[in-house]
Amino acid sequence: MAENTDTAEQQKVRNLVRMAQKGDDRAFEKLYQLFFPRLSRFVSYRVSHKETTEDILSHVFIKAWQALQDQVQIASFNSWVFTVARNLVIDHYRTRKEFADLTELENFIEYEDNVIEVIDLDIKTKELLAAMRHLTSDQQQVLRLKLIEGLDNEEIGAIIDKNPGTVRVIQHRAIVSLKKYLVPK
Amino acid sequence: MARQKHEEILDKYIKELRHGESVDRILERQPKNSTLADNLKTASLLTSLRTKPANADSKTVWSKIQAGIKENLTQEATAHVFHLFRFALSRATVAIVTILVAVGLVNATAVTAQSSVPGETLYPIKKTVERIQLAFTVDETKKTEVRLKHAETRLIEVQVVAQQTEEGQQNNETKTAVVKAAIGELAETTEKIGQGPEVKNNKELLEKVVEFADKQSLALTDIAESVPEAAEEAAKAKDKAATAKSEAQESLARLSSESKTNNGSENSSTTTNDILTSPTSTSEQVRGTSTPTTLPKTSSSTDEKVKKYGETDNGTSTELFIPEARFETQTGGTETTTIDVIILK
Repeated sequence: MAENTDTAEQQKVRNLVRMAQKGDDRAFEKLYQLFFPRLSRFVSYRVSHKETTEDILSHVFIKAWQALQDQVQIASFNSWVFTVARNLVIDHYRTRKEFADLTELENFIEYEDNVIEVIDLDIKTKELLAAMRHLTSDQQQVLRLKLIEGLDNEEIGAIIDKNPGTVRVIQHRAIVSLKKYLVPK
Repeated sequence: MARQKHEEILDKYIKELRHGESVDRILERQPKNSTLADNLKTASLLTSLRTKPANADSKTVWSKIQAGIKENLTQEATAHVFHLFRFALSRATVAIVTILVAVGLVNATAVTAQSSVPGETLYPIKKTVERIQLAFTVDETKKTEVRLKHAETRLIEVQVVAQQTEEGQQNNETKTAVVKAAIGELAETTEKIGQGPEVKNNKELLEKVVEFADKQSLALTDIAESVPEAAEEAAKAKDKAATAKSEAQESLARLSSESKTNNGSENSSTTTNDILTSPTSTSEQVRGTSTPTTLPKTSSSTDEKVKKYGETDNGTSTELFIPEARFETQTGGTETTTIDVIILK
């Protein structure tokens, strides 16, 4: 198609994909090394837990390997892997228990041993979590996924089955609500 | 309307918050709006709970990937087996195997149909098993040897298929197609041998490649004669084999001239041990395997079985393969086919 407008980088990827499709393990490994840094940043921005991030990343590449094996026609490997990664992140949140119980969040903040900066569960945070309990389940989810986990409106929409516009509305209402419940300084 | 504007603006500022902007800087740009300011401040209470993303470890992820790929391959083999069993074995046997798998006594089963050739039902299983062999072989030199072995199998298959065609065991339409397919497989597998960089420095491997290329050329010449419809494919494959041969010979020449300048006396036929005991003053390192590996031999006899599925380097050997069993099965016609079943754990 637009092979002559490809950058050298894109051409390199294209070649590696072609070789990997023929069963060249080295080409596959090179693809891994090429894409790992960016994909790793992409996923860990959205998933705070290290091991989960590593699981998701490995699944992305396992799927990639299988697709290459099955000779699936991939127009742009770059777009493809990021789409897969995004969907796996969404699936991860979808399959977790309903985030109605805030104790999960509390545990996460206190005991997460991947946390680089140890966050003390200070009074303010406790207040905050207590206030959040007053929100609806959807509102809690949206605030958590958006503000803490770092997903965008489309991704959140895919997780809680709402369209992105609705997510924005929920976000607004949640914050207004939360404001009310917080102890005034 | 106004509310929607609020939502949009708030959303926009939250985005900036997430990207690291401070609340004050964001609010500077706005005409004073205390509601918006309060909302944003509330939001920032939550964003400040955000931990730094933990860095995923690339090596950990890579080993998870390897494990996943092996899992996929064995699942593929299992699927093949059950598909086959449905036709070949009695219902009782299928039920027993299913129960065993469900109970977890048998983690995976692989059927090798080592005597099968392109065009037969069992052939895909053979290819899958070969891929498993490669996946479980970690050492690069051994991997290349395994690839060479596979290529030799392809050569046998081509000859068997060509012979079947001659003897009229295949019908007219499919016979040439099958021969062409077999030749194609041969060419493809031959190409893969050259993939590892170790090949160029390993004398023993290079000699095997040359030997194999010669065998291939002879066989392909015969086939071109006996199955003239496939002559074109045979010629192409012959070219590929010739290229592989000349490349290998070049590398061999280079290796022997290098060690001549450093060594003085180098005889051209060596065993692997000779490579290791030659003087250490070579500047070019000639690598070779330290022990001759016992590779499973392929033959067209159904009596041969695969003994081992490859070894790993570091001592934590995944030795697969425990019991073997033979099943006599009844295929569609009056013939019986023997399927060797290998159970992987």
